[in-house]
Amino acid sequence: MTISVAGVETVELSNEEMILSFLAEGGDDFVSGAALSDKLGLSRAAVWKHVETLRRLGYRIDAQPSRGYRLIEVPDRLTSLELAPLLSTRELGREIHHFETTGSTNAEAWRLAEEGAINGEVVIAEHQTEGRGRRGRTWVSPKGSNLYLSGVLRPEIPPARAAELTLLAAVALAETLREAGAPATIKWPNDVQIDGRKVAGILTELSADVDRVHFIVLGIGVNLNTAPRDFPPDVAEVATSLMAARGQPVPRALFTAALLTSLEAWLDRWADQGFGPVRSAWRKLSSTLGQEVLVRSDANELRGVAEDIDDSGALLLRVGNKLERVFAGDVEQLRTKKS
Amino acid sequence: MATKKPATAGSGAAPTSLDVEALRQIVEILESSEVTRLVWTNGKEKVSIRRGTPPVTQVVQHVAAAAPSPAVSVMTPVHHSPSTGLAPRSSAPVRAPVAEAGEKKGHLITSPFVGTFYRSPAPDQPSFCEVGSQVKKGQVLCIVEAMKLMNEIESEIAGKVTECLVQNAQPVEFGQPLFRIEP
Repeated sequence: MTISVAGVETVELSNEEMILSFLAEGGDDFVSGAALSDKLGLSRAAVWKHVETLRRLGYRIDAQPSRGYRLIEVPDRLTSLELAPLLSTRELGREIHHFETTGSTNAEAWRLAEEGAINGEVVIAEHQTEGRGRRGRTWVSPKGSNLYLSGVLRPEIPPARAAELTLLAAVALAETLREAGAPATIKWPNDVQIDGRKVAGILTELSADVDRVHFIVLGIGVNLNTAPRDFPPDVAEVATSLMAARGQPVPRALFTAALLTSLEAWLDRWADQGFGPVRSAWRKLSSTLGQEVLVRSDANELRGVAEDIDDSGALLLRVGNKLERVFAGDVEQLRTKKS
Repeated sequence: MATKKPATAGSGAAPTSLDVEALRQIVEILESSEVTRLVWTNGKEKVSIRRGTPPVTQVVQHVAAAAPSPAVSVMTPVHHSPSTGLAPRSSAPVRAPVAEAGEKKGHLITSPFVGTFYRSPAPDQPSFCEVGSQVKKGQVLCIVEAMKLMNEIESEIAGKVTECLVQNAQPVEFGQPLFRIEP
């Protein structure tokens, strides 16, 4: 069934999703059973049945015979039931594959993409048993408190431009965190930090041949409601969460919807205007530029001053008289000289 | 790994139902047409002809349906295996399969973008492949990373890795050769 939400876009929603949309729109006000049955083209008894289904799924819905229905509480889950009513995206997150637990959302998204998943399909897990980081590292993924999301993207670009997406994602993520009240910054290329501690990581994987991108899996892990003391000791030293930064828990569905919305807006801008706007937003959000940094790769270390990023996103590092282009490595930002 | 070599003329060439004359005629038709690529399959036999630059004509014989060993699937550029009997001679109306003199044999795997080259999935893990490894088509050979975008580079053909042209964790340019694979 198709319905226009907020008068903007047309999307496919289930009856439950539509009821939630109307109740969410109603806010603290009651929405009458008659209005719901009218809008959905269902009998009032059928509306009641769907409301009961939602209650079994953890939604608290107030029902009063004379006034109708009112949404009181949404369960802290990230299925399309929670997200669809909050999303205003065109494609991103319109199809959500939700897992209670999975090895890695990137691996799931990769598999789905190979099976033909379309642009914008998203995998979300409550828990990852093999959350991945760069160069075989793990991403600590406790259950039910954070966001582990991977999206399938099919941009029409040559493979050489695919890396631009990793900086774009960091910009969208840092902006969303700032809107949620945390002073997020980006460490090159796309670690998102709060006060120098990692709050989110992005790992992107590309499938391409010489001149064409088949698909890109954009993996994002965000520490939302994990208390720092609940991280393993080695991670606790360097990690933080949005909750820790702003002092109160984060409604995960709201954050996820806001992130997907921001991501799609940036993807659209990037498709229209190229990397330029991403690059300038990245520079403003970056904590790396102007710093003395140490870049470690598998084989070597490079120490210098981070001057800028170039038009592909590579780090331009001043080492003595030379300007080095850095494409990969772990950046350690050394203490800034303070006067 | 057990490998089976392609049959050679000396040891009794594998017969093919597509005879040389028929192939020549096909190639001639292609020459005078706009068609740049033709793939013909008949049971276990497959002939693939491509025209244009870079000029390549490939003949794939006996595409093994359920190959016990990956190397059984023989993919042989014509100009490297005249023994198949299908290689057009210099008089044949095909420009494509003339190998440049002095050029090393084998297929080059190149980098799709500027980045950093890794031979292993993680620093403490073994390389995806070594010189001398037999690799399948689609097997991962290395990773190229740029700005935490990881691209696992797969072998475009089945064969033996005869050269690894870049050291681990070194920068690579767009189009830079990474491996040489001999079919």
